[in-house]
Amino acid sequence: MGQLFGFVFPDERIYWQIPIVVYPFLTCIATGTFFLSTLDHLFKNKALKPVSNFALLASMAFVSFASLPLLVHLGHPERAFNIMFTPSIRSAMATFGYIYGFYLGLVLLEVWFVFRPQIVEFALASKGVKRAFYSILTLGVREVTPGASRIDHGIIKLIAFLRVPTACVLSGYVGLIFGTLDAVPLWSWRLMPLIFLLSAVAGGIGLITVLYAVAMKGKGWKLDARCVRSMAAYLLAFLLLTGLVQFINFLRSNYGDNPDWQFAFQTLKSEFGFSFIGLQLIAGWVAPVVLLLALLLMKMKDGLRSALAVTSSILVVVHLFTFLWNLVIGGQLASRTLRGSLSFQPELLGKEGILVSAVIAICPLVLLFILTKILPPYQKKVEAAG
Amino acid sequence: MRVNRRDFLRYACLIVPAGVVPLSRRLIGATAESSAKQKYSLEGHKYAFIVDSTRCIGCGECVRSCNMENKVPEGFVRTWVERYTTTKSGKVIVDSTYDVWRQRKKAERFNFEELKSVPAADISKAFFLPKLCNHCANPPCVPVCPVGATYQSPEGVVLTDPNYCFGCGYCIQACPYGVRFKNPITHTADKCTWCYHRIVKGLLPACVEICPTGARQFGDAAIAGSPIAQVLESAKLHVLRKDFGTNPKVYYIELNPEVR
Repeated sequence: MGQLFGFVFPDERIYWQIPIVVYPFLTCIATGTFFLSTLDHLFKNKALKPVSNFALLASMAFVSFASLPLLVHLGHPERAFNIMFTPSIRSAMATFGYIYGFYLGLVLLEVWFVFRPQIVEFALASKGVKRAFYSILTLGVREVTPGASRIDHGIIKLIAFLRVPTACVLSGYVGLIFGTLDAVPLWSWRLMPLIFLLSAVAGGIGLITVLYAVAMKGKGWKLDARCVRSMAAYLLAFLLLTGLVQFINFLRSNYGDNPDWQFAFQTLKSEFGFSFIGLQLIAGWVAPVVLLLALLLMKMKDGLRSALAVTSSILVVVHLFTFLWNLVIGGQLASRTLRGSLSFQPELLGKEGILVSAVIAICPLVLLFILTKILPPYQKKVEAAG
Repeated sequence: MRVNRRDFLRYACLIVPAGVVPLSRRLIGATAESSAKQKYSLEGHKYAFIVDSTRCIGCGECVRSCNMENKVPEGFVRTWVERYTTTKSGKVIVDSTYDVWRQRKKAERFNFEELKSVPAADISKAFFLPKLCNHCANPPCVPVCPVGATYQSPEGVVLTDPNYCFGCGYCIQACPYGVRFKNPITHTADKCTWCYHRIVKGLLPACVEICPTGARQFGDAAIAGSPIAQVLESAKLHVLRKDFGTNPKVYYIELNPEVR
């Protein structure tokens, strides 16, 4: 364990470590990336068309690994399915298995319906192993007539419609796990689900902007300026909302008569000053807000606008991660004695160490890369533009 | 070898008791145990734990006996004793038997040593305070358990099933008293059980049994006129962190405001 300062209870430790930071991070990204795909699939926002299918694949990649950090953290991962067999409905954590499973199912269905024409096309046009692989993915349905397409689009709309509340519940629910714990002052707020939801959307849009830029760079294509601008606008809106709700939370706690919160907040500032004030607030929120305002309000070349959008998006992803880091780890620093604090020294190689968590965090990106090879998500229109 | 009647009787007097006595003791013991099991009912109990901090001398024997009785892993405790030292300038210095363990490593005894950082002349007040799971009537650790591995027994004792707990640590975070820990051997949540395995046999928790001054008292308040019932009725009692609304069943006689 880390160092102790002052007096802490004998059994106090940082029990929730880096995997419990990575778990909500992956879940938030999965939800946020989904938001972008929904804007096109459900609300017909044509500006986001170039990234909507990519965002859908990203959502699938991230949600596929969202439960892995939890399994790593559990003392007995082999008993993980107890949560589905005998859930205690009074626990905020108990329904995770069902919500997560339902969301994953919806994502898989939507991916299949969205990419079905391409899958059928590849199954018919390719040969050998590739043909066999795509034939399996067709699930035996090769009809891509206009009538079948209409039905597909109807189903896609229905799935997207179902995914909106499910995604809200999934990301908000992660916030609820923390928000219902009165014993940890920095977590205890019933509106924590809203903070998680807004942060998730901002983080998801940010990551998609970055990955989209990387993918286009890799292909040698130009970024779709209208799409980048639209994503930047949504990013700014959700970043401002996130900041507003967090500020309200701060005001409510800071000016309330809650010595526990005051102590925990002081501990967070003194122990995690750099990650809280430097990274989460200044680099992760103030800087991207300024950059996004500049790129949306000022006249500039598309190249510079894209560069600013990508820079601010990277910072927003940093904001999401540091927000979760400061909340999860930082929330446990203050002792329940209010007379001391714990310090966190992450181990490199342990089960809950930096290396394992980094590998888990990278896994969705690897899966996304593979998925984009199997199911190319970019529109031909964009290709022509490049 | 020929055995005459006199030798036969002599051997019989030695052999028969040697065989019969242990057998009969086992039989009597088994009967007593089974009758105790039959007698013990899960219903109708109102267990309570009283801590009289004015009697605690900080010997740490309670911690030692608990560790031995429950095979508590090194570096963790199910119960501990805190020492509060107030200087004449009003500064409060707190340490615990855990600090004793940290200083000694592999400590076999948990008695405090003299506080060297403060001269005796500067101390205005000092006292010891035992802590343990409060077995709250409204325990925050129970509803958060996603699989129901942490539960309240019919007698109101808060227990964790190590064979069902999957070690998520949610209950540890939910406890405002910091009495739960993740057992590094079983990888499940662990805490004081009031020695449940003993109390169902009519025995006292190990820490109560060993306490030389009676600072720790335990009993069934449902039994009218029992010592614990009398204390509950007559003494002015306090609980820890009343603001959390957990309704602890560990009551303190004398609780200074600096205690959390």
